Amino acid sequence: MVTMSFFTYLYNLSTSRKSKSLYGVNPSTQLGPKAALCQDATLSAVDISFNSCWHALLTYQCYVFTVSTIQDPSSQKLKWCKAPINALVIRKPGDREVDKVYKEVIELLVSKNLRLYVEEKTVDDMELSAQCVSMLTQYNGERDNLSDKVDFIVTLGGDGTLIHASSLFQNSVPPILAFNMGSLGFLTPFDVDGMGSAVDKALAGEMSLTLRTRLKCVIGQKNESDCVPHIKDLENGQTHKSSRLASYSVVNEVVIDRGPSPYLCHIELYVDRRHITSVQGDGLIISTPTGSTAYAAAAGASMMHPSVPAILVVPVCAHSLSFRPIVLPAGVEITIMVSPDARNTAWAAFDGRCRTELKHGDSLRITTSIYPLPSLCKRGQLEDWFGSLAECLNWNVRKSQKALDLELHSNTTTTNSSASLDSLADELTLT
Amino acid sequence: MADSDSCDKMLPDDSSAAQSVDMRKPSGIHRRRGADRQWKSKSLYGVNPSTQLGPKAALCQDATLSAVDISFNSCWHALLTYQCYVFTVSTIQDPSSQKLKWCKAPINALVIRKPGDREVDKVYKEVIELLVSKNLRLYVEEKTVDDMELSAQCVSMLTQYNGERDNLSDKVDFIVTLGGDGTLIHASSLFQNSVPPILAFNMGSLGFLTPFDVDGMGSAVDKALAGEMSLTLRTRLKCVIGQKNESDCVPHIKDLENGQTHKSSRLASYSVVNEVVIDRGPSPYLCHIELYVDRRHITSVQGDGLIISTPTGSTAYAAAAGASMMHPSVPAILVVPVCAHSLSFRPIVLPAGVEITIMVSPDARNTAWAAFDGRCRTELKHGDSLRITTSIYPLPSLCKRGQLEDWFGSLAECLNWNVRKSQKALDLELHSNTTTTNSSASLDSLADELTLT
Repeated sequence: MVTMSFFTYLYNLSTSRKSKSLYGVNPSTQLGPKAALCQDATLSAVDISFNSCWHALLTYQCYVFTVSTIQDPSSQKLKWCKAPINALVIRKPGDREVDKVYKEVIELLVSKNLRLYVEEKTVDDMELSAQCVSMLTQYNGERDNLSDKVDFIVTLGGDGTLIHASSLFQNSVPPILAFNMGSLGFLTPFDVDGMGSAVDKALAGEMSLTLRTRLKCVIGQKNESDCVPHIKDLENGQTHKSSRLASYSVVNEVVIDRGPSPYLCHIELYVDRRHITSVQGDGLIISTPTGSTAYAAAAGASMMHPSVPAILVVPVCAHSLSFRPIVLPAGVEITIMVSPDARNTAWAAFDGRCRTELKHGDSLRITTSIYPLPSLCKRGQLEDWFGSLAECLNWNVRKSQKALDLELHSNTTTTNSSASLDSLADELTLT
Repeated sequence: MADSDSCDKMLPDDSSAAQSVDMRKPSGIHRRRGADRQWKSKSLYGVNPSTQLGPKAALCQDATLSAVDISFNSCWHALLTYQCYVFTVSTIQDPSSQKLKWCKAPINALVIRKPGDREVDKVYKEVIELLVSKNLRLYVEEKTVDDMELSAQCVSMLTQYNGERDNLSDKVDFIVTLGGDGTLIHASSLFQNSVPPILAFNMGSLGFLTPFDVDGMGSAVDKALAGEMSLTLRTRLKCVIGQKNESDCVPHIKDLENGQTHKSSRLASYSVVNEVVIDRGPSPYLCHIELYVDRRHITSVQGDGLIISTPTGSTAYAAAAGASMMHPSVPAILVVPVCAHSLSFRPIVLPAGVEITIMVSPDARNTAWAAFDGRCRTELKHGDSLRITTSIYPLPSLCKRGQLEDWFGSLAECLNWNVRKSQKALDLELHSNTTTTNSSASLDSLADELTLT
């Protein structure tokens, strides 16, 4: 029943340079003629639970998928399991231009039969029709918990607005359609001019999106029993604002710095619970790839595409000649503690908010969150990113050097590797 | 080693945090909602991201593989649809669990040493004798038999080869290198396709990629031959130079799909471990090249040159040019300019699956020169193209302690990464005054306290 073509198909899947996966090709697990990579033991238990006539098939399949499974980022598309009903609209506050567009957006979304969550005072501030108002629900960001109530998010503003939207959802985040009306617009690819078609396309589904990894940060404060609290106490994503444990999901970065103190910030960096180094300087940034173009870029890190699964560790004004930013795989657990020798406490900021003091004995644990931020793409993952680099940061914008004059050009391009600088100078003076 | 003490310093053991995860249940099969919220296993690629986006949206399953479930009858359909959910994604092995396995016992080994070093020669002889005693047939460089004084039994197990003429692909099961990083890179250049595992002993200058010491040679070799040793798959870049021919079309990369190298023909392919450098060569003019990613024009590079680097090479030339240092397990490609004449050209990091193409700009005043791991210098004329992708044949280098520990150890030893005298703590009386300051303490009050003491 099982045809050989299926086996061939699976074999080809595991060995060929199959598709343009942004994670790169599936590396060959054959190492020379005799060696190979051990298959991951954790998943081989799958084939035990089936009877023999399936066993052969599944053993083979186990060969294929006894590995971690990660979706190829360039093929990531949005799919609606059920039609969206509730949408959240967030705007940048205090901007008149934005307010005008806000009203248009609300009316547009209501016309698509979406019930909208909007900020308090929207009904008071905007002049909306009664039909519109009936489809609105006002919420208060501080008090109300919007998790699992919102199917779709529209933001009007800049990167700060999108980050604010992310902070409202500590767990699973609905897809975000971000219109650019703010200052920088790095994470906000859509223009308000094409609002109608963008919304239609998003609601239809099959739109490409970028899963921007977030970092899950857990602060453990030293308690009287003198033990460091466990990360598993926060597995359900509960946030205890006034208790010893707090968890934050950040889109850009976590910054640990010296706060108001004039002394060096002196903190210890642990990776996977092993001490790596001691950081002495103004502070340390633990950044996502999305945040690599934010504070981390100012501190000297390379700029990283959001699809690369990594965490950046970037020092801020480290008092060391050799502290270069490093990039670690996304699966590590980073822990930061204030050094016992430190002269002051440290302060942590999560996407520039929720400033918290880290005293001696407190720990900050950072891992990659399983809940990424899905932001819809206008043109594609690569094109949107490079477009933002060029527009927002003027990346490598420079007047192009002119070509040489034609006569001169024909003299110089035929030089070969043995041409010396002297002969080149001679040719130039002759012309 | 500078940080040997600190590497042993570990945080209080929360092994219970890791054990709370049920390792027998891959998150894909275990379908209950929120199952993949677990901090499942320590996959270096990060957790399997949740594909549920809010209450109503999800990630589309990869359409290319959904054809699988069509070809089966209904009683298997249900099962396989389920499994298709699991593996309709790209499959990449979790790097931290990568271990060597011998499908068949190794028979042939290649021993490469750094030439012209007397210290190395002494150890070379010991290594040969050790490996021969393990019943391995060895490939060694020419003149080894002449230079070394080896027993007749040893010599009978040796085969001499010439690196320029002989093709060692598929003949060697295991590689031992004695030297530094250059020796390991030379070993990699001999294998343009699948590379056998490499056990690298450090006897050279830097030793970034060579974790093993010659003192523990015997146990290292035993452990390697036994299998089950952890290793790092260092990604390599496959670089194809296409030279403009008379028909004025750029040659296709698929002409080289079988990994053939034509040394004197229009196409040449190289697998690099560290980086490809495109620069201005002997010309005094700016190097002016165009950068394309996935066949879209991205930017124009004007300066001394450009480095396209692997994560392994991020601590080599790319580090000198200002890039961040990247762990070898991160699937990425670095694009780093060398002295770009621009205030805003920052190094960038791209996902490993992109195809990068470099061409000399039509406006350029000179040609460009490419170097592959510092070798095979080739001129790129107007109209030539250099295409770079991630090779499917990585370089498997065996680890001494583990992927993370070896890398951080190398950073500390070789580059003295962030080695600085620690600032002393304040005097105890002073310390007790300052640590109790809270957020409302101002700089003035802090200064007052200091003057009082």
